[in-house]
Amino acid sequence: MTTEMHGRRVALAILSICTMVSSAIAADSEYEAQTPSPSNMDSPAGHGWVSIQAQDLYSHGDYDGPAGANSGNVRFYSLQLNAAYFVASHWDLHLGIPYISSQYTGQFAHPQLPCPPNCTPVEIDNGRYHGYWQDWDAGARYHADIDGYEIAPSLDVYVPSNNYPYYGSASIGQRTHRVGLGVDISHQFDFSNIFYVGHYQYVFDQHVLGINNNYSSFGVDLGYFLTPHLSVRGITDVKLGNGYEDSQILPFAPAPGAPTNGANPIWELHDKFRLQEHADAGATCDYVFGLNMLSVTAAHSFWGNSDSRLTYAISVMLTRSF
Amino acid sequence: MDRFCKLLLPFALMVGASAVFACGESMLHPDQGMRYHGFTTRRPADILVYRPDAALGDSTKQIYAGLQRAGHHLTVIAQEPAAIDALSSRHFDLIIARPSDMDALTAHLDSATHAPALLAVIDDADKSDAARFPQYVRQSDGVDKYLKSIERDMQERGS
Repeated sequence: MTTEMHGRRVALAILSICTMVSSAIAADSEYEAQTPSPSNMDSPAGHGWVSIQAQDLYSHGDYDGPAGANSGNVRFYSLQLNAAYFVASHWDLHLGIPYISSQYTGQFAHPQLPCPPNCTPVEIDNGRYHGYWQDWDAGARYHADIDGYEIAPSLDVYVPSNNYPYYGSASIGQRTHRVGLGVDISHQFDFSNIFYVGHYQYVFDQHVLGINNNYSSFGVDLGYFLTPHLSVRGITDVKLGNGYEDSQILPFAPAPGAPTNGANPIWELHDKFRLQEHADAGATCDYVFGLNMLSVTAAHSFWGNSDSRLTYAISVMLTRSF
Repeated sequence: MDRFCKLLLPFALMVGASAVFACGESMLHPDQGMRYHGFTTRRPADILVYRPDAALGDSTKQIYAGLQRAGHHLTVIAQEPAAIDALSSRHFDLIIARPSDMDALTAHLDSATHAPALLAVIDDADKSDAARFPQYVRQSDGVDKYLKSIERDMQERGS
């Protein structure tokens, strides 16, 4: 991936956002009635929403690790399906699953694991695309509206949908079972088009080799309604937690050319408990038309610790309420 | 241990450059956006709007629509006798009128009753009326300024 191609993708995303903004402002010069959606109905029981999100995420190298930025490039194309259904006026049950296709390019693919028991070649780092369904996300969320503050605590369970490869630079996930306790909060200030959306989630991750790899994920988005149907927001997403830093994993890595029967479990399983802390920032444009919301997001990582270096992520999500 | 590992890093770079990671997050999870929430008052007020003008402009209509959408109950009256009748026959929380019209209306208010709050609509350049009325909006103000003033009035009166 050349710098020129990166530039084109970012320019395309910005152009898309600007087109949405200008066309929506032109078509939305007058205040219109609030679009009905489960979030503003008196009783949304029996309603819900479905969404589909397409994403292009590209990482260039590592924040840490021996090769740093030269450790290779990973591209993830993903398609995520989500649905939520209000079983009662305040309660929703939701389910989601992403399909992710990934490709590693670079000089430093993960080395072959000892054989036996891991005789399958490390195919996901062979420079080609490999796609897998990732983890089911099933959960429940309670929606409360307290004086204009929408507060939604939630419980999520993440379960791997199959035995996808977890070892490799292009691994699509950790293939661990997780439970997340979180809360979302959103509020539009009185007499103002300014709003914020915040989220926090603490995830209890399956401990592998007894290593604690629980983590927190949180962020705050600050947004502005250009019209009642069109908003832009600056977004942040931070992950902090536990796990092994690269400097703790490295001593267990096999040396080049070493026999393949001597790898340590720490190395073999390091992708399951690597620290992977990061802070991302970006921008989103949301456009509501009828019962639909179209969201375009672009983000970049500006800090990381024992994690890959996110060059950019661009996603387009369509949500339809019913 | 940590210090030892850091010392080991340059060495590992030289002899074991294949031991690199690059494994990280495969997806960004942006929050869902927020739907627009027009302001809804938690203190709905009964408002008498005295507006002697024969025809209402578009901006005035938008202001009245905005007040109603926020949850306030408006009674818009164009004739002074009708306005006085309305004031004597029922209770209003607030009167919106121009300063000169306000004087005419308040002269008929029954001092024994719980007097409505007054929100004067003053000329943009006027300073004397601004000093006379504790709560006022200017003619060029939009609906947000009206809503803020009404909200403040209702809050002060404990509605």
